[in-house]
Amino acid sequence: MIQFSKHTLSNGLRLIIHENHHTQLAAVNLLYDVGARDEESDRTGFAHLFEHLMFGGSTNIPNYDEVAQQLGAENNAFTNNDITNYYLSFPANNLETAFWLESDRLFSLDFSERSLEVQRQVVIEEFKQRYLNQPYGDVWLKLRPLAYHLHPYQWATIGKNIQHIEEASLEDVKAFFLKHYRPDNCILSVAGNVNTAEVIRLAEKWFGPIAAGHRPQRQLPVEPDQTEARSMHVTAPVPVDAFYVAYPMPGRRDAAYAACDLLSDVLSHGKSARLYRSLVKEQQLCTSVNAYVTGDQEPGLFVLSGNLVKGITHDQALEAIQKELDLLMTTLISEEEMQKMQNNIESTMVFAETNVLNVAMNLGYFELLGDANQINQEVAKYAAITAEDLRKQAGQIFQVHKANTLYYHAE
Amino acid sequence: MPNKILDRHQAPALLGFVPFEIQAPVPLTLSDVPVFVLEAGEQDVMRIDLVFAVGSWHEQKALVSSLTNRILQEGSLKSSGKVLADYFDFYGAHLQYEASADRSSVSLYCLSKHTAELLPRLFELVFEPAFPEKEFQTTIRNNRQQLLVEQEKVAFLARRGFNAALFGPEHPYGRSSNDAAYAALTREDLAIFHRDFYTKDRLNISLSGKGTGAAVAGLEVLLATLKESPLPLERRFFTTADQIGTVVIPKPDAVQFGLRLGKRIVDKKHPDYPGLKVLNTVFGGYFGSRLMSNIREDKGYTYGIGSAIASFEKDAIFTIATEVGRDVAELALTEIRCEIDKIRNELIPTAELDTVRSYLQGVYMSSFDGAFSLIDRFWDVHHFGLDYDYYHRYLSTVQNITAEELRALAVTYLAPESLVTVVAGS
Repeated sequence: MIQFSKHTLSNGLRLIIHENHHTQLAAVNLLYDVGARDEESDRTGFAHLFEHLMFGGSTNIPNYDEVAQQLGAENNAFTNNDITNYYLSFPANNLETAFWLESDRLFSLDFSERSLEVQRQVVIEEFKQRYLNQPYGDVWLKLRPLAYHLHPYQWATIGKNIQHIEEASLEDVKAFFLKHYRPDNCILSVAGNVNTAEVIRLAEKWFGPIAAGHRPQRQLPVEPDQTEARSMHVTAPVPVDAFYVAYPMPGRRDAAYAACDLLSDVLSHGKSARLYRSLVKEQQLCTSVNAYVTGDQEPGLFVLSGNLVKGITHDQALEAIQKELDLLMTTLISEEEMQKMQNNIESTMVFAETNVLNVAMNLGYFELLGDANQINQEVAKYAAITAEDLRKQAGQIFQVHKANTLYYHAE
Repeated sequence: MPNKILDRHQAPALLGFVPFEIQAPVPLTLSDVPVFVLEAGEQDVMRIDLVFAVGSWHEQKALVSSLTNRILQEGSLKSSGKVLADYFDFYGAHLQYEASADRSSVSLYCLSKHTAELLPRLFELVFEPAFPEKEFQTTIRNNRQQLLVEQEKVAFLARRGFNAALFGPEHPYGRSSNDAAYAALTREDLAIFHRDFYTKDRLNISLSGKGTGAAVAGLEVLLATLKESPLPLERRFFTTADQIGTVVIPKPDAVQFGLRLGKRIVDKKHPDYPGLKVLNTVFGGYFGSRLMSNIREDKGYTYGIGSAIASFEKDAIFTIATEVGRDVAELALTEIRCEIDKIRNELIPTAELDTVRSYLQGVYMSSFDGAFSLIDRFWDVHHFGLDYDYYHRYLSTVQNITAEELRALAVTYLAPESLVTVVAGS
């Protein structure tokens, strides 16, 4: 059970505070409700490029990193299709410096042509390092447009291609900032060796005076129901054949999400999981196999992937996968396996509480989903799911005409 | 609303480092085995480490020690691998396997309330493995295929080439997996290595988390059943290679090159080591380091570049590592060399050094946060025969070392002609 309190400043900024006096550290997390899904289809990769520019300095703090380092902070940020998240974890006695740092870049980020030029190059190198220069590194550049035809999840956070990053202008940067980086589009969560009244005082002092924006109303295109199976074959300089199958599934706020998450655990959590036992160990079709949900806010993907043993065909492996999916759709999961899933959820939640940065991030994320207190209801929510729920949910997701299959063929 | 305009230009005062006592584990001896018990934390979680002072230093064939460690989970004399996996997964527990040149370990992470059920299974897995032939073959085949994937990555190629250049491909610190070594292994190699070295006299244990008292009682019963090794623990003697100059590892289709530069350096027991850690931080050890500031944040040649000093038990290495676009690789190398010259010739400005001092003190405090970090910090010194005095010396060095002393360390240890340069991708 995580104790916390929730407050909203007059400019709309949401503040969540968790006190933990067993640690010397404090964690400050800022979740901005903007991600790659909010980009224009001809200017992709922008939310992530912008995240890099947030470290380029602000009016009163020309060098963000230097101050973060003086704070002794572990400090970074990430962008995904839904959100952009910034965090610091540091010795708690310097809490106010973190408020100064984070409020100044929200109040008045310094837009510089030079910072844009350099970060553009850095992001292009990131594109190469992570997506082009790794075996199977381009999987999401291929799989997303296969699975999504209309919805902005069709592009990866890094962007559709390098050209979009090259074309970003300073005007785009400013407009993006003013639209999305406003207090009412931000959830600030603070966890650790802090005092709630003091955190509220600091939030009022540093974030209170920042004007609210007009919180953008999302009107994203709805992905039409998939009516036919889709596939794509890629021949690439990869050493072994591989497959990725993606089925559309409900978003993170949907009541059915937890059941999908559990199904992915049944298939692929731990060495006892079904796909590993069957495809890697018993049938020896794959050297590795995986199942996971993307966990997106809007309808996401249930992904199954594997690397093939040399000499095994894609058809052999995919047939074995299909058998496992059929089993989920026809046969109830045993009580013992259900209990195993439940124990795993409990264990995951308790271990996540051991680190204040995790706690701050999770509180912010659950607040975005609707209510930070859902974090304390997760275990009960998963416990309420029955084997019959899972069987039904499997039937909903794993329909043959909803599969999106990417085949990697070794050159 | 505030009644006066907030002066955002005015930074809040930064408070200095607050000294704290490091919580050390309580040492026990159970059935002649050293056991270190660290009771800490708020959550009901537990970690149990079984650590053997045995690694590739002690193997007669490459990969034997790491494969022995890896295949423990594939089945015991009493239970199949599936039964073992079911058991640990059922309780939401997690096992972590580590095998290095110096030591091998298996760690169990679980909710404290499950320790009593899991501890006997952990001992079964670690001390009574069957090394089933079929699982052995599957693992070898999968590892060989995974190796093919790794060999497509320039970072992997550069690291492998770098370690071999410093130590030689046969040395325990220079070895890396290769296909021929996998092909030469048999399950008997592993079974013999296990019989000779996964023994009571090589074993150290730690318990960390909440509720360790109950676990100690369970442990005592299990330890009484273990045997000592029939063999003395010998390390074979190896010479190092200490190659300098440039090593090029071809990979014609690479979009980026993997670069590694570095050398062997003094290890953790040497008095200069803490100072070198500070020097390395300035040079390439944090986001604001000179390498990052110049080569990423000023030039945009890379997504990331860094340097590190890592100590083994019997040696240590200094490494600069990055992946850079092939068109800018030469420029990046030039900038790296400029930064080496600069740190050897010029004093580090006070403001920069003060930032590094603050940064390292914050990281230092964070590194002792929570039961599992505390036990990690214990092992980090215990493995080297050091004690907590190392941390006091380290902290004092961070707080007091002068720019002159750092320059002298750079002159002594970072001579450009002493470094090897490995380029993977051209």
